[in-house]
Amino acid sequence: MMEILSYINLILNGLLLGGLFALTAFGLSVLAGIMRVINIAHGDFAILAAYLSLTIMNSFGMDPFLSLVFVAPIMFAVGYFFQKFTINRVLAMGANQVVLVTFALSIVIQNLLLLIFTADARSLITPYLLTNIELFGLNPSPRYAVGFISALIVFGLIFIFFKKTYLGKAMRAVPFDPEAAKMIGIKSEVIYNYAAGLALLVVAIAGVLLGLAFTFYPDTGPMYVLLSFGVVVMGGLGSLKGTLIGGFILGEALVLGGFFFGSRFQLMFCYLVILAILYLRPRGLFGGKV
Amino acid sequence: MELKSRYIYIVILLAVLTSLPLWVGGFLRDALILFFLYLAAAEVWGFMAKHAGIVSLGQQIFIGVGGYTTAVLSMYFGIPMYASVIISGLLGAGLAGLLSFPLLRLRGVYFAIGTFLAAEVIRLAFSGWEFVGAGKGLIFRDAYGIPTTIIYYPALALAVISIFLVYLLYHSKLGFGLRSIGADEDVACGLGVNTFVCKATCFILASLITTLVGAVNVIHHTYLHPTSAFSISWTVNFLFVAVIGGVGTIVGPIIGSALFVAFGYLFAQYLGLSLLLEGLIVLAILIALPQGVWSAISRKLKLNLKPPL
Repeated sequence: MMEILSYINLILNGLLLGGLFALTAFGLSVLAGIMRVINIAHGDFAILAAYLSLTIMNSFGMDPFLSLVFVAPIMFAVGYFFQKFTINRVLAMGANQVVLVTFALSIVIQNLLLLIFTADARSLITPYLLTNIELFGLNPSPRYAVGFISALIVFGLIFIFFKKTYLGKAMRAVPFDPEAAKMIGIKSEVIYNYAAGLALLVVAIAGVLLGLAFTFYPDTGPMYVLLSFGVVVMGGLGSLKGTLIGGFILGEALVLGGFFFGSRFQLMFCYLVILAILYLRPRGLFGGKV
Repeated sequence: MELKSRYIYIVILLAVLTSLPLWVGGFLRDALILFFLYLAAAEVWGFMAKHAGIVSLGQQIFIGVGGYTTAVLSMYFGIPMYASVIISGLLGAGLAGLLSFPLLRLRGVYFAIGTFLAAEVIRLAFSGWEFVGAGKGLIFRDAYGIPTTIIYYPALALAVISIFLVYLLYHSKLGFGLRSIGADEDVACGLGVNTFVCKATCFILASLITTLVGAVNVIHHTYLHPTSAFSISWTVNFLFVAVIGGVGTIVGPIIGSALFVAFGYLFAQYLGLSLLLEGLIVLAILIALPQGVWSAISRKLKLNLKPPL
């Protein structure tokens, strides 16, 4: 009985972690869906947000959650202007050029963080997240649970944004038919700017939640972009439902991989799962076009 | 320039380069070895990226495999070092062939991330593999005391081979196929180009050169650690070298590699600063001068060079 319960506990934690992964991958997915490009610096933006939150926490004694009041708008602006002044200029040169630009950006962010914050391990962990929750004999990790609940709330808001607001509808219209969107007066480049802003806003939330759940280093970013890519590949591009399901699959892969193969090969197992899915379904589990 | 006089220039240049270690100092020899190694790897990386549309973010796989194979074969199995280097090259090419099957099914951006993932998997595997020293790394004692005057020659040879390979590839039937794939893979496929065979051959050849670079590099540095041997910064450096001069040109990486080595020495004592500047320069060039510095210069001087140059 105890044994079954511990397995259930494991799966529950994988599910909770999966919600956080889905939120982390959202920004990558939305940009891939709208512009057909992959932002290699995606994970580094998440880590950048975590460091921003850490700085605010250390200098003003602010709770990491509250620091989002500052971090999220800053990251929105970063996304908006980076899209406007760099990505929009190289977009016409093809997806590979965007890969190279964002790859270079990823290196810049990592080494900037290394110069400012050194290579020490950091964390946003706060005392109230270290308490033990007990629910029907299960022990869900409060750090993952906070991520999961926040992810669901953010996903709900994003869903409403895409369905109800003009900007949200325009974002869905542009990839659907760029010519027709232009005809009814939607400037695709402006939409891209807002989309990149939105993507980084959500990445900022995800980055802070990841900082609450795990320690991070200046070079942690690539790990999250690879995991996020895995989520996107499983879920299909730009699909909210697919992203959530992809997140759950990877969350389970990470937790179960850690249980069966030890923490040493946990990440490797996760990457192999992603590679296997890429091999079997080069265009993602749920179809989707690139 | 007449064809005949061009060959004379090449012969003179090669003669000078061959005799160089005899009359330049130890410091410059070190710098030249680095220059040739990065040049060799960046030439083929740039060719793949530009002409075949294969952007690999995982070439560090081959640097690491080349290094580890050479060290393990000579230390654990007593195979002569030059033979270990050659075997490591073959192994790297074989590995590239194997990786082609899952990875080259992926296109464009997906391939880029696929190679990155594969490189991370291999890095993590080596970090946990006790036989090769796991996370502690491996010290290549057998390579101690090999003078740079000797290591200079395989490095030079690799750079020369790499340049000729790119030149020949560009003008071969295979290169023609690759360029058509780079322009539009679907159309190339429709015209009867065997896209998988073309891409795989190119990937294997490029990886063979990169593996050999890794092998020579370990003889020069005598130390291996999974995190640095399979570090993404290898590919960052190749990107820097290739992008500065102009991706897909032959002369471009020569300028890029010289700048890269100079940078390395200038900022050696500042951790991270060198990579930060590299990243910023690559960003600036990709956005403002996407054809690279060399293409801009040759256009200004009206050199009228034919494409692969």
